[in-house]
Amino acid sequence: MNWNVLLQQLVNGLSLGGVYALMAVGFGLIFNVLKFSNFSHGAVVTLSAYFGFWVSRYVLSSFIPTLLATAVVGGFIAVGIERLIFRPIRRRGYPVTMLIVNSITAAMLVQQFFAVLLGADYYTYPEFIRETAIHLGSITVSKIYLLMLGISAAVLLGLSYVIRKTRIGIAIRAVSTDISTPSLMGVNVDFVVSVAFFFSGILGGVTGYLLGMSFSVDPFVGSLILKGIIAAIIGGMGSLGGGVIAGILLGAAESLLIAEIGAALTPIVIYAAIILLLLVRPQGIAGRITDVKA
Amino acid sequence: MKRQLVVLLMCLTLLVSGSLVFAEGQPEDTSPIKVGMYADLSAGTAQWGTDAEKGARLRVKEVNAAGGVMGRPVELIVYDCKVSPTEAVKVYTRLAQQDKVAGVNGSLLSNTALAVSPVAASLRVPVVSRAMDERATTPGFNPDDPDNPGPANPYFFLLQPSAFQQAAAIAGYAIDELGMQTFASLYDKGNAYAEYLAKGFAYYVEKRGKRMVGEFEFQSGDKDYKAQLTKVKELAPDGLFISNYVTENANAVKQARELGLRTRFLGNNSWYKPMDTVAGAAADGSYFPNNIAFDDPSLQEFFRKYKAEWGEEPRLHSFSGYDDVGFIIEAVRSAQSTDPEKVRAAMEATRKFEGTIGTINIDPATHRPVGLPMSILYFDGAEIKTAELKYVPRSP
Repeated sequence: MNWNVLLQQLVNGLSLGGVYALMAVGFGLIFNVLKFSNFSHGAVVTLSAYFGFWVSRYVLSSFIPTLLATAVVGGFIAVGIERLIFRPIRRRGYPVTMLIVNSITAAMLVQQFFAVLLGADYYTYPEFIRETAIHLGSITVSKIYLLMLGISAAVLLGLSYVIRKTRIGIAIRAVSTDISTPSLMGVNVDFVVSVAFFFSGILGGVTGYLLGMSFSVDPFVGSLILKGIIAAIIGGMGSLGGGVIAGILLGAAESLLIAEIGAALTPIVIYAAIILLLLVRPQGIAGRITDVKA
Repeated sequence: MKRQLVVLLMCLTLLVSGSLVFAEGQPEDTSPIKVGMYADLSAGTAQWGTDAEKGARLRVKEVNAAGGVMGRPVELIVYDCKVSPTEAVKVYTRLAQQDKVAGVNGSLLSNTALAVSPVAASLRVPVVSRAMDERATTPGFNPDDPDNPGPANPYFFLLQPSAFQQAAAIAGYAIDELGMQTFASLYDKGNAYAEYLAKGFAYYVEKRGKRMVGEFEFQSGDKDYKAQLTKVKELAPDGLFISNYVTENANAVKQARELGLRTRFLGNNSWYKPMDTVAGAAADGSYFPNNIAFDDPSLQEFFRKYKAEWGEEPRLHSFSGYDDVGFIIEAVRSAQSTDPEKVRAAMEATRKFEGTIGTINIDPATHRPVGLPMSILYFDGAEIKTAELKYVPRSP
């Protein structure tokens, strides 16, 4: 393998990592606040991918407005999911496992719903960006992936500002430390949780839109969330910055391994490495180092 | 006692009168000849199944209008197998045991065929299908040793080129007509159809003394193949064979274009519509095999008949249903019997059955057609055009 090829594989991996990072942050945010693995984030991604297709195909064929619209809709979908299936459980004080079960069921429900309803057809976004890649010498960089990387960086910066400096951010941090005490101090916990879901939904909306745009939409587009969850775990559950770093590392490792040992063995090596990593360092890569902790 | 005697007498009378009828020879049987069909009429591939059923019904209507078979009309009994192997086994069993059909037209998918095939071997009612997976017709088939497929399931038949045969068609065309020497493949390891095509492709290429520079897999559900495609770019083969379903094929083609691959793409029969809308101009210059070419002049009569009957244009599997049920009826005619065992023997001996997809000769050893041509199509920009109407690859 020559240097150019190696560099290209690294770029492939980094850009793929951008997608994982975006999902890791959306997933990690909810883990921070409610302390459970929110698999329904995959459902938000899928629903947003279909919404993005619909709005860009039939309403307005323009990139930025439809991306923003999908992000907002993704936010409201997440808030809706929280209201419908998480809040009743949380209010009654049922154990966290119930939340996990419900989140998995919601993800499967959405997947199956679209598989039955729309599974037989193919949905492609309009071509907004004609030339989808930037060529630097012999290296090719996908514009959409760069966008994902850029957007996850921007969103992360924005989010860490909101969480550290604003009132709602302080409230989110308070709720994430202890969900019941802040309500004694006049914090509207339900509202704070809704806001957290809205932020995570925005991330899910952006992910769904960009995935749909680069891969065409199918009912299983949300299943990529697994990679995001893995990134969140390696990064240190709840550490948003760690999730981003881990997502990018995961993408790069995957890309290089697939090129060297093939797609069949790659997951085996990666999963084994994750188990090893977590045995040695259960808090993940950035469990304690980063201060971007919500 | 008296009553028992009466019953006994009645039974005797019945028996005697019954045997008298048989002794005189059967009166002309005008009851319909039953042909079974199980198709995916709901769920994922419902469109394909519905098209096949319409084609089949058109064939039955034509046969009956021409006086039926052995002076008897043909009746088509259709059940929905819902893309489910267990459902397919259930309705096949019903067709064989309750409806007592002469033969069955199976659904289009290999996974239902793989489930029904062993059941057909024990219930002994022949099935005619489109399952490209070689194991449906020769259960002992091993893709790593294709020269020894093992014995055929006596009760299962394939009426289109199998996976290895389709792969040979496009590989042969690439070698002999496009002058390619080196190849690579990209396929979904979790999709038997994609894998069998890729293995068949490599097998043919190597038998012809050409070179596979790499065979690249991905996992089902993967959407990004840039790592594999970057390797392909480095190895720079003349042709890259991409043998999956539409979404994966389109993603691969788009990403390959992004990476600036100069390799020409070769496809499978999933490159037909809607690949043109999903992949668009990224597929430009690619070649792939298909069962028919829609601009084939010899098919225009079928187009007219089908449109008159159903008020819509036929799609690929309208042809499948029409041919498959025609094949079963022809076997009944040549066996002069509706006994599934005799029909099966007639199917095995079928030579020169004129189907819409070409002349079908069944190989008794494998129960697959031999020498059946395929159309070779190509992408001109985002438009699919015909390169060759009927192509048969050189034997390796």
